[in-house]
Amino acid sequence: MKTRRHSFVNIATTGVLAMILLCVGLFWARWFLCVARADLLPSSAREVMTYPTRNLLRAGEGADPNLLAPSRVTANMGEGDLLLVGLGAFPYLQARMPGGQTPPGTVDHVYRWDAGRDGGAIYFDPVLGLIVNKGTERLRRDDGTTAIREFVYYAGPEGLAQTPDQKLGRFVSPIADAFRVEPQTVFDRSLRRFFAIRWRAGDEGVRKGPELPDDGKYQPVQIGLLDKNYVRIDKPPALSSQPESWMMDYLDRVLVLDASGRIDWLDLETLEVGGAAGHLPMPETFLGSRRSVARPEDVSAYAVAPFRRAGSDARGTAVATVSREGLALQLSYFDANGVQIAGDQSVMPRYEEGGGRGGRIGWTPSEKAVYSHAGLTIAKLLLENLHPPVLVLLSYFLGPEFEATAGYRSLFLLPDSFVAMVARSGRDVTRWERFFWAVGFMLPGLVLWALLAVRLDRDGIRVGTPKYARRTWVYATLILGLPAYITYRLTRPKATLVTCANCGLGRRPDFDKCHRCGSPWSVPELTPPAWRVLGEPESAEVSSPTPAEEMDPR
Amino acid sequence: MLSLIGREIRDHIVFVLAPFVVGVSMMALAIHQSLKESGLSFIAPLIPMMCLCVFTFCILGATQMYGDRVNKVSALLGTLAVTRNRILVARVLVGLLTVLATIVPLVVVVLVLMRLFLPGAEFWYRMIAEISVTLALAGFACYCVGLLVGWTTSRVWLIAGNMLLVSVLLSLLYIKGFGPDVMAVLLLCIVAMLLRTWQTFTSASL
Repeated sequence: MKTRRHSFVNIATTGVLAMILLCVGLFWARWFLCVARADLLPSSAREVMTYPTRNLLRAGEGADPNLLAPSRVTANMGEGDLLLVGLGAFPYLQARMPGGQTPPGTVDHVYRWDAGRDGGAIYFDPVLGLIVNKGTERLRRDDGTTAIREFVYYAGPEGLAQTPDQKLGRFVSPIADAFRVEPQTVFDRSLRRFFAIRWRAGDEGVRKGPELPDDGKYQPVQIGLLDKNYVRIDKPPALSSQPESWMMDYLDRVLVLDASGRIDWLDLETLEVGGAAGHLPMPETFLGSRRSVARPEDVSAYAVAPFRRAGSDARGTAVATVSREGLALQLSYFDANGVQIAGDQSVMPRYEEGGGRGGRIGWTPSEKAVYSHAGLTIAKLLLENLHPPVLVLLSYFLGPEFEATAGYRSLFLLPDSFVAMVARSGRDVTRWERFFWAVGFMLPGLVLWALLAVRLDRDGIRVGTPKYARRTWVYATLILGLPAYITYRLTRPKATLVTCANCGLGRRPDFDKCHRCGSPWSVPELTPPAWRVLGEPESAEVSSPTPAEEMDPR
Repeated sequence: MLSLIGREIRDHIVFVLAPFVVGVSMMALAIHQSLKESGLSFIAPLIPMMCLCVFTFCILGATQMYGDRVNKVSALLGTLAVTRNRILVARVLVGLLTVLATIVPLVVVVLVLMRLFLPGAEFWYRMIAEISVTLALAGFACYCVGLLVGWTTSRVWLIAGNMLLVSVLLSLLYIKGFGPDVMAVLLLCIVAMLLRTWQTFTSASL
């Protein structure tokens, strides 16, 4: 029993360690491939420009297009930033660091925090259920001097006060605009209302909006400055001869990002959703996507810029998104009614192949162009096939639900693998077709594990592993792949085989019967010999002194 | 048990005290830096010294097991009224105490400094708690690596195995940060390595 317990502990612990070590090793191999793929993206493919006025001209609308939209909008993603920011400590610090703008899904109750010595803060106190605003302000005295006063305000759904009070009510699960704090817009996911909090002394108070229907249509996840990770939108450069009259104005309107990827604008007077301002466009990926509108967790980065023309009511919204792997950038421009009037994506030139003059023959979406590098793509496929097959299969089912940057630091599941890409792709493909397509990407691995299982079975027969144990190891290798095979090799019985007198094959010396032919050990009968050695050498040996006795002076 | 723990500490006093000394130096540096500059600048020098500490934990574990294997300490103790299980428990307790004695005072000093020099320190408590727990787990996991790899007579495997496994464990922090994910993986590693060490240590011949 003790031996079996030891054996089980030995196998289980070796298996766990083999799994972790292998997954970490494969992670770094995939990561370096990922960096190499990102390096294939030229800086020209990291920037996208779109020309809304040109499209309006083509549409033949009567009004001057320059009055309806900016002449050019540019989006830019940094060089390799996403891979670095997605790895390890940075996303952790980004999610936990007090203040600042955190992406949707991160639980941060600190909406604004000044790191200075007199710094104030606006944060949600979950114990009180109130949003607290504390800091210092300068007061001018009657004699002309200034004094510094510390203040604390508590805001609840029912009002605002300088002390926490039950009459203020309780926020349950608020998200707040961290950019604009006067008035500060808050949405409570439990109360399903927007609130506008005015903090300024003398005008303080809380306004409530109407309750939104709980039909899943409105699920705000971010308010105000809508962005995630690093992507930048620029307005057209102003010329000295003709200054650009379009500007990015984050204070004019409050934008609200919905969990579905829709962007609405909020009427600050009535606190009602005023209408659609646009949506997060889905970048064109290697295997495509079922969605045309991206959810916030589907893209690794996005930025939303509200545009306004100086001196008029003309407005628009520019939205830029970056694909999960950071290889495709999409930029769309929406008019005041949320209708897309311009859009473009990152592209790379396609050149004539084999024997041609090498001229450019067209443009390819950047992610598809990067994946056309056969060496890196095959290396990625092979590395994914070395991963435990059960985890690869789980990545097919669970991968699409992972947040986009989670793939950068995922050890066990692979949300950016080919099978997960297949799970996200295929607009006109049935569920089963998609599944078999994914199995096709797993085929090299499945063949490898089948070969290893056969090899393991033969080795088990050779060393005399019982049939049920061999079967367990074979199934474990087919399900878990390399970690199971390595565990078997490290923990299998280390007996030296001896030749069986019956079948001539190797047999275990610790078994009663040969594990191949079943014959017992043929031990010759020990019969005492009839002869004897006579004489007295024994007494002579006993009488001679030992070296110790010789040394002893007594 | 106490005499076993005392013997373990006496036998490896250098490696028990080394992380503690590094920890005290870190505290002194942090205090000096916070008096010189405001904000979070005192965190910066702590990072490389923390790595040094983690390697010291690993060396402690490796020395305990390698010394035992080469000098047959547990075989000698086995002739007294002591089981190998108790020897291993005493050894692990010494490692755990060393890790805690290094991390806990450091965390207390960091918290006090934040409270004194950083407004809104309460916003950071959750992060400090998570980072401290993760570092303590990483330190103890490195100690377990030392225990696991140290049970050998080959110096090459002792050095190479320790370097390899410690690099893998520390790269986990780099990959996953300091959140609950990495804590779960580190805990799994610790349990697996301790059980493997127990299995190897208790089933080894005298």
